[in-house]
Amino acid sequence: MPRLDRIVPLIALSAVLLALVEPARVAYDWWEFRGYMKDMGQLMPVRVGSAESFDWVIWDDSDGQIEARYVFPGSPAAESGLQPGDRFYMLDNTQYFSADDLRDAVRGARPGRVLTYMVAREGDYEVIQVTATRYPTFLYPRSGALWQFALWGFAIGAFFHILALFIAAPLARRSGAARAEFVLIAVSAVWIVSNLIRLLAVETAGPPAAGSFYDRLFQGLTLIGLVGWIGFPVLLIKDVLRGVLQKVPRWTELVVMVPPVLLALAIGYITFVGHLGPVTMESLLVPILVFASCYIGAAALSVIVAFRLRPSSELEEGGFGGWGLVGSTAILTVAVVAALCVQEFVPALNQIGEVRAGWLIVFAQLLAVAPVTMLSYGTLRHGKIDDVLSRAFVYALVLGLIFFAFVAGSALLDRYVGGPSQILSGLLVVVLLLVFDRLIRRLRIVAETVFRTERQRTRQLVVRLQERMPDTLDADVLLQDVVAAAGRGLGARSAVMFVRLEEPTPRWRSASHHPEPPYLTERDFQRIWPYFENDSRVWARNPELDSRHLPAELARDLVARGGALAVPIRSEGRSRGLLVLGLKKARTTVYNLEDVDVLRALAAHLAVAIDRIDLVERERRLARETTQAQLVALRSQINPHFLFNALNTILSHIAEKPETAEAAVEHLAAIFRHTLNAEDLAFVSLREEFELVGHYLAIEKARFGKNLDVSTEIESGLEQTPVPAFCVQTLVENSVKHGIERRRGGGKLEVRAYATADGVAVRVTDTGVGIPQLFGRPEPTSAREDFFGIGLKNVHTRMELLYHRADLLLMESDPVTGTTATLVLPETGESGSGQARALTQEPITT
Amino acid sequence: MLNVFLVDDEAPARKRLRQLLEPFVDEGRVDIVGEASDGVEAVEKLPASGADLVFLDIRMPGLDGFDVLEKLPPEGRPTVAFTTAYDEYALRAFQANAVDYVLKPVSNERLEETLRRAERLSKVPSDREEQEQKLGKLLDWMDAQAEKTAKGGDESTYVKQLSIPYRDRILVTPVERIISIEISEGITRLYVLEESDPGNSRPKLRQHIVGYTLDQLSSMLHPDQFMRVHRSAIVQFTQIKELIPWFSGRYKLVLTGAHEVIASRERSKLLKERLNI
Repeated sequence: MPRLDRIVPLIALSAVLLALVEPARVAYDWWEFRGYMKDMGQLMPVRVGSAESFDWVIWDDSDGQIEARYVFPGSPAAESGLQPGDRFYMLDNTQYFSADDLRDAVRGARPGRVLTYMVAREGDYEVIQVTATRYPTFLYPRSGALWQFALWGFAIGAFFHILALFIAAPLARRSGAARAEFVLIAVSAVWIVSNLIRLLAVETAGPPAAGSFYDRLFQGLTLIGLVGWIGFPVLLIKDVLRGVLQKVPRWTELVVMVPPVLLALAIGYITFVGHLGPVTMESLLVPILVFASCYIGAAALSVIVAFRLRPSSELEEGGFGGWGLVGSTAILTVAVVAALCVQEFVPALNQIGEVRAGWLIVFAQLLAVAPVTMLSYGTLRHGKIDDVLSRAFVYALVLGLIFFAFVAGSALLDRYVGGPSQILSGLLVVVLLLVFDRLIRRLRIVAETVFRTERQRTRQLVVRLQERMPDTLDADVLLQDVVAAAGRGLGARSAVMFVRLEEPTPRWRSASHHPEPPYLTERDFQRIWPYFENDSRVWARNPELDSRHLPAELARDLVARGGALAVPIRSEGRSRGLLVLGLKKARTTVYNLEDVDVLRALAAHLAVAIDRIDLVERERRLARETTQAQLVALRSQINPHFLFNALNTILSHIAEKPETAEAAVEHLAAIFRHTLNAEDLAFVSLREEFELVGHYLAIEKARFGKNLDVSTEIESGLEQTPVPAFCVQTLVENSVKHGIERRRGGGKLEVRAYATADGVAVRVTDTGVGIPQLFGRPEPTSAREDFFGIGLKNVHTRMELLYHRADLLLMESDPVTGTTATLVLPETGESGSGQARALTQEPITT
Repeated sequence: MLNVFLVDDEAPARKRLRQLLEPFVDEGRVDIVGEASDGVEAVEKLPASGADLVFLDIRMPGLDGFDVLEKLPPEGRPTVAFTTAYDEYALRAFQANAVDYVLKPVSNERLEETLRRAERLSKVPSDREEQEQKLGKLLDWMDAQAEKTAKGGDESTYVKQLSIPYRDRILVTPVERIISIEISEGITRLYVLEESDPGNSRPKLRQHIVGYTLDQLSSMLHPDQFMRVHRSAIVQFTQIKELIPWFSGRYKLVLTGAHEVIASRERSKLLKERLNI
């Protein structure tokens, strides 16, 4: 937008130049005055400026006389007996004939000086002595109504500022964009609140006597207020420039700082020295007002221009949703009128009289804050508005009730019950505390009903879903429920969710609500996933909620696909998936912090539910695999080939070697008994497993005779080590069936259990034909190989399930030396034996 | 008098058969002329034994029962009675082709029936012919089961050399030196021509076990050079020295180094076309 890039800095520059006109005029006056002093200083003593004084009386011309229109109640003048309606006669024995002259005379007196008035009241003359105070900069005690109006106006303004700060603070903590708004509101609040405090101080404690501690405090507050008053127009124009332009030129940023810095220097100097030549704080009023008007006007004009030259949707996203054309025009008009009035191009201030001028200035002061509201609205609607409002409502109500109850209660006590008042007040406080402790909870409920909004209903919907979650064991149903609840509850046009389930095999599941954007496919999702996998932060389309950890390019892509908010689903410090929502259905609404909180809570519950589903699925799988293992074992034991061969062997021995036949029958019986007994156990001791292996090998030995050479050994002390049932047996059987039985002339089989550095290992070595698929591998393989038969597959899977490690079955093979299978049983720590024991004691029912 | 030969790799199983045959020996109906403890031994001993009936175990190291049947010379081949404890695949093959088989443990009645059948076959030539055809069909059926031949690769995927793990080394062997590749019981064996001294003209073969399947190898080797002649064998054309007609339209191939391979009936036809016989 090249035109915009040229016009807006020009507007800012003009505002700066206009704002500099008044300071220049003041400087010129001062320069003139210095020249005058050089010439005249020697001849006559001229008082060189000072703080202006005030007698808290508004004098007005009336029928050729000067009349006291308004005497500020509680001021020294009122306390000395000066009354509205008194007609002025003389001040310090000097007569004045116009109110302006009198005002100048009072203004010129040093603060703290005693002014002696002679006034006419009902035909008599009265002499009244009034101690002048410093003029209350920017306060306008010019009529009762004006004073009350200012008081209430600033009180309401302060209330809203504090509310806004409460809403903006959590946003500012998370995003840089909201931080600028927060600072703007805070600076504006400094101005409004310090002015309110000064108003309240004067209202309750009266005007500060010159030179007192109270006076110095008052001065301090004035200075703080001025920092805010000068600060917020600068921040305002900077925020607007940043929002309207893609890139703010460096010179513009610097130039807009010139007038406020000049004014701040002057104010600082005057506060500490009292005056800058003839320039007093009051004479800075006009430059400051003009400066504020120019800057606010320039900001409004920039927005108007921007709305003309740029698509409004972009501006709304930039946070100018609250401005609009009408609002900006209104602000511009007020700013221009105020600036013109103050600069006396429209000679309004002198014409309309002191009181009306006061009204005008107070109005201008309050209206100046309006653009702050409008600018920050775009940000604040992302905050917890409902929450802060309902809290504010409850607190205001409760504090008000307490205050009223206490005041009314102590008044009643004073009147109807005698006795020491401190004790009674103490008792009253105790009673009130007891009552309100109960009342406040009720009130919160009432307040929540009063503020029951869409959001509350959302929360209820979500809470109900969270309660239902534990009953759902179907992951797909759960995901669909959650994504629908999130989408419907938050009024999103659409929602899509990806979740990784670990069982039975790790895989991504997705669910979506409404087939509109975000059109996020699994491939798109995989691109952004790395940024959420180990990160709990959310991504949001609007900068207020966004944590800015997603690269700009991916964020743009996500926006292009219709995403507006992405919340990771986390449990135990890692993400299990991601929930992505589209824009809200209602065009004017946006996601706010409350929504994010609701989604986070929902996601956390979902993560727990998914973990649970995985756990249940894992248990099921374990049970299934164990059952399968039993079946495999059972089948191998009653494997017809084995059984009939065994029977054949037995038959052949019955006649000639009946004792061999008997032994074989006993071994066969032992194998069947073992299979039936061990059916329910996931683990058995090494001793039991080796017994089974022994029985099996005894029968095979009877079949093959010297062709099968067997040796088994358990290192002493390891007999009770738990081992997954039938695992060693399966390995031994494989060695016989696929190794030794296939080699002409048979071979040697060795089974050994021994201790290692980190546990126990069982090694099954055979000198059979070997496994061709493993030939030539330099290292033993621990992977689950494709060529594994049902037996080896089952051993591998069960070791993985029981020990959470996939590297516990090591296989190596060579055509010459044969095959070695090693079963590693890790140290019986938490993963191994804890579970082993639990499972050993608890039969798995199938 | 029936001459009986026993083939089983388990000594107790042979003993059991001997025990059962004892009464018939005593009767003079049967004479046990020999035993073999595996397929290789059976192929060596059987032709010279003059057996009329062989009890042939299916599962044995080296050559299984079917391999032995195929390798026996067709003339004067004895009647075959397969024995097995339980082998689903073999049982299916027998049932599909109506071939006689005996289940272990063998009962007296079953044994007597087998002996009677063998006696009849030795007397009635037409029954004998029918029996031959059945066995031929059995072998064809087995070939058909393994017919899932892999498609050949293109020119670029054919290898010139094959790496073979051997003890702690890997031997790189040019494919020209491969005489044949055979598979039995899931183990693939490569028969490779030894590098011979110039003085000693007699070629020597060496056996290697490799991790490839026959399907993998047939897609790696150039089809102009190698041919799958059997469900369990690939041979190199140039190494074929003799073709001996075998039973039911098969050929026995004698390769370099006097190594013998049987070609299946289907493959024998193709082989004849290729060699313009």
